[in-house]
Amino acid sequence: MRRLWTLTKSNESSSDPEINRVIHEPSRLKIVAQLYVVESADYAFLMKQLGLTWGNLSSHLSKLEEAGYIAIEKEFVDKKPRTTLSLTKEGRTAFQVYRRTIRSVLEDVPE
Amino acid sequence: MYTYGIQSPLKSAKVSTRGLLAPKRNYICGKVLCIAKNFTTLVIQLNEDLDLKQLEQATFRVANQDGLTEILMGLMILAVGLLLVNSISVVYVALLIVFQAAMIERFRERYTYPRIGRVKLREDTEQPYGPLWAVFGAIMLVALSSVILSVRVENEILHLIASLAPLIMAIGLIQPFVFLAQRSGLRVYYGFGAIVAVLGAVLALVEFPLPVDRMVIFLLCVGGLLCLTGLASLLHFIRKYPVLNEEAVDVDQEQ
Repeated sequence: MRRLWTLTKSNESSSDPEINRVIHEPSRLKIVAQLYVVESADYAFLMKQLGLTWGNLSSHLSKLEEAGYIAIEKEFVDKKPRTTLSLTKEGRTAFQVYRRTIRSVLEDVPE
Repeated sequence: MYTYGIQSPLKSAKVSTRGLLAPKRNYICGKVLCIAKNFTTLVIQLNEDLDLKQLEQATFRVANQDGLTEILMGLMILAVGLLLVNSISVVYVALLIVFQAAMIERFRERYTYPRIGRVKLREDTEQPYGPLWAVFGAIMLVALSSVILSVRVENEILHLIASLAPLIMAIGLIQPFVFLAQRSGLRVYYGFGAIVAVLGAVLALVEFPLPVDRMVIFLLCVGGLLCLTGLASLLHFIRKYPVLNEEAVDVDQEQ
């Protein structure tokens, strides 16, 4: 009980870690994590890898693009549209910060 | 590329964020244990499901599951074997080296990308340059040059090295298999390395009229094994993945 009280007091006094809510959403977290480990990927690859529908993926990608975390490059190759997605430098940094934040928050939790 | 049990860790990941979006609000007396439980759940999931190393390995497996890696590796080894038999095949080796990247890309444009989509792996980890690869190159050079020179030069030490050349080359070939095992997370590549090492040792012990015969048999066996494995993976890949509906992709991308 004493330990719980100490933890509560310390949490109230210290500033809470800021969790990036754009990345924190589960589907977007998956997208960012997948793009983090590759240089670039297209819609079809992400859809198959993450198990998301086209519409769902598209809406999450729009939010990530608005935040400046991903770059969407559209081009025509042999009269066919090709969309390439990649994580921007800001996106890469944001994901690293997000991981650090989550880790630091979890380290404070008693076993 | 062996693909048994391929599934992206992200596809099966269930990241629970309930209770985490408002940490400040929930850090009130009596709620701490609840938050701690949720955080603990998340850290377990971050460790198990969102392990970036596992994710990178899974992506590598998916990107290379068409078997082209094995086919190309096998063709290169076969080409070197043919080079020892007939020097004219040097043209074949040169063509293979010059056009391999273009050939692979053209093949993937036609068969791989329409099935699984397009992904470009990170170049800093994709290209293996380092001291181990320099050792690998040196071992290959020693093994091959000893075999080639043993035909023309009469020297006991050279003949001894040439007779052990399959074993030397097998030891050198362990490096690419270890690299593939580490990149893909598939232990089967260690098995490949072990088979090649045993084959090299056996052929080094068996008597042959010329060291070059021993080496040719070794290279043809290893190259053939890799090509067959690659072809089997390719057939499995083509059967497993139908071509994606292009219209759906186009409509979505144009939006």
